[in-house]
Amino acid sequence: MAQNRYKIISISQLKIMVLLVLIITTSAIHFEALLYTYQSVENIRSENPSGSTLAERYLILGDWPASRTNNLNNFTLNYQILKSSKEPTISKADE
Amino acid sequence: MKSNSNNSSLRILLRTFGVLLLFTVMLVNYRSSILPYSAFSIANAMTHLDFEHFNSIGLIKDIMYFFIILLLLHVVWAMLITTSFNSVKDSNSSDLKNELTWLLLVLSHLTFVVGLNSYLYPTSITAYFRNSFYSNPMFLLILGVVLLVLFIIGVTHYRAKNFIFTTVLASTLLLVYPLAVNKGTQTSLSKPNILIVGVDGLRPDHLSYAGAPVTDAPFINNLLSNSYVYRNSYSPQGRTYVAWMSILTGQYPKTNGARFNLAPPELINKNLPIIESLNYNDYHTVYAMDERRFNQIDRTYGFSSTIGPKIGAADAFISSFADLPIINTLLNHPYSGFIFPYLHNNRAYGKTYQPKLFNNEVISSLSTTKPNFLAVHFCQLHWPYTSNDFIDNESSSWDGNYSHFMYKAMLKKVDQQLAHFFAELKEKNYLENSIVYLISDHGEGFKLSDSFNLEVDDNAPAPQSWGHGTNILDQAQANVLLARMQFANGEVSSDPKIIEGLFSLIDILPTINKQLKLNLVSQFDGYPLPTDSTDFNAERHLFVESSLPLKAMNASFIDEKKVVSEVGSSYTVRSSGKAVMKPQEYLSLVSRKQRSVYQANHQLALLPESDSLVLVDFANKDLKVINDDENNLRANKLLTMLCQFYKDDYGFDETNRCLRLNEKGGNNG
Repeated sequence: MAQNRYKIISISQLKIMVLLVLIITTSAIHFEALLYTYQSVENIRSENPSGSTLAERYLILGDWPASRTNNLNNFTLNYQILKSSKEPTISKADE
Repeated sequence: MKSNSNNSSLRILLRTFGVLLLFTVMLVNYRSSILPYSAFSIANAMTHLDFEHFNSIGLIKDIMYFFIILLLLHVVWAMLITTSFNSVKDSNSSDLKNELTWLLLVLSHLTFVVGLNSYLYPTSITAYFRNSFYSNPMFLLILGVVLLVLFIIGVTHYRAKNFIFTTVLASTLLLVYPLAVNKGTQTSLSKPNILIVGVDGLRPDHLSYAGAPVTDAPFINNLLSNSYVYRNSYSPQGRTYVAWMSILTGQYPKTNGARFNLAPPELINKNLPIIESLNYNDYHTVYAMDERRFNQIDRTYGFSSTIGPKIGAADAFISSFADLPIINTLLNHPYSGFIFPYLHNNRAYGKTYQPKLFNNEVISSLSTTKPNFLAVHFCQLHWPYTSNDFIDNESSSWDGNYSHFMYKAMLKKVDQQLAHFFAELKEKNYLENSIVYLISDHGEGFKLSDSFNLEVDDNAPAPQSWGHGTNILDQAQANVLLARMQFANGEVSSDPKIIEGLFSLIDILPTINKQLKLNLVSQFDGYPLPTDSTDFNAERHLFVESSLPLKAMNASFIDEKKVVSEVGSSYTVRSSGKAVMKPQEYLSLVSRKQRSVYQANHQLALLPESDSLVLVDFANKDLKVINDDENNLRANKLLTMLCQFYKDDYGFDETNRCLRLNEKGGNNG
């Protein structure tokens, strides 16, 4: 009888443990994704209020620069916005 | 016992509602931490609103309605979760286990909604599962089915389960009905459909007939290769509403009174003779547009039907604030037009805008039994160039000019949208007998060095500016696409031809009047479009005016504070919730307009801000300022035309150039 009772408590505890693990895992998935998104933004953020790259400018305008096939980092390195005052030799300058 | 059960369900409902609301508040704060500008800022840069405008009852009502709907959605969502919880709740288990089960259920719902938002709308800021396993369609399908099954089982636990099942089933059928319904095809009619298809900001020099690669816009270029294309065409003013009013009246803005996008409506005659006549002649008249911030045209202008988001100042605030998974995932259902009228089919809320959905909604508004007059305007090419799936990674064509690069990327998207639109029209037999005008309302200035390469005097005003309607010397802003084609049996039947001459959007209405023999009593400023270059009138002259040449708008990145400080005080929000120019400011704003006249290869422009008269010679690629003491015959001839047309316009020629020209003419005998 005592053994049976011990067994019931254990199953109940096990269920609670499983539920706790699932809750913590699901929460962690959300937090990890939120943190990754935040860090990605911090990595591309410059001191220029209007943005220095295509990705940063798009983000400043209120949308996330990514598609189902590309992510934010695809639009930073080779997408520097040029300034005519600093780059007088470049004909198609942005500002 | 029953009472306890009810109390328990209510407690769970309230608790669920609280958690969902907390999650939304957390997302709003998280979004703010990512975006450098507030929810109020970006859109306001274009609509010139400030906090002082929030005393309009219409604006407050619209924003309140939005928040009430948002709260109700949270209540419904909480009810779904509470019902689902019935299926997994175990009354024999400990409270802790039930609490944890409930929490897991709530988290599963949140995961599903965020995952769905991330899959459907990866450019949403709150789509933080984008490109991950949790936005994978298979994962979402499995999770969605599990949650649905839990809900169905949960319903069976209620005493009134039959009633609830019937309600849920009826609601589901009601929701599915508009997605499944097919309106059918148009019957054969003797009168032709008239379609005016506008593409916002489409620059002719980005199309193949003006030398651009065909692949930049393959569908549009193919269509134009089978059309009459009027090469040198201009918009009377590079602003959407003003341009469309000129199209629909056949008159210049000075004649019809629509001088600004947000001009006070009481100063504009909304009776459009063309629409009245077409309605009388048993036409079904439709005006459709996927962005309404800059265009006031609605059903009060006489149309049988209008399609597109609601017009109002709340658009700016709501579309800046709305980016939440629970809203986004609902937005493309046809009924969302009722609950989120400012967001549904709104291209300005680019992250959820579905071009094909807008197309389908426009086409389903057409009549299958009557001839249709459809004026439709597509705005994907307008700033801020956002879309629901961003753009392709093409760094090789990146030239450092953000706006121009995005413009070219969006040109491909609007081309695909038009391809789908025409394919659907054809499938529904609307192209069996149709006359189609393909136009743009204005161009767009990007300060590209290789467009309209002019020799410019050192003291001359800048020949290029950013945007549209801001500088009449910038040909990229005023030069527009104007083409027409006849469709028979679903195919273009007109001869392809590039027609030389000087044309304007005001020529469309006189052409329709002539084609349909409507005999409108209106006094047109435009002329019927010819079908051959030999009909070209070399003496024809056209007038083009600017909107407000704002310094703050002349930038690739628009600073909201600068725009508001420059013109914010000139606007007000009416009790209807619509933003308009203050009538008392209207005349002073009119006086600040740049005005110009084109004839043959020349343009003469009068610029009030620099008090200069500028002559542009396109043949010799020359732009120069005409000094007061200079006796330039060409300039004098064009100035005479300008003076005659604008002589009674408020604030025109404050330095009396016209008077001096007359005296000069008198002295010369």
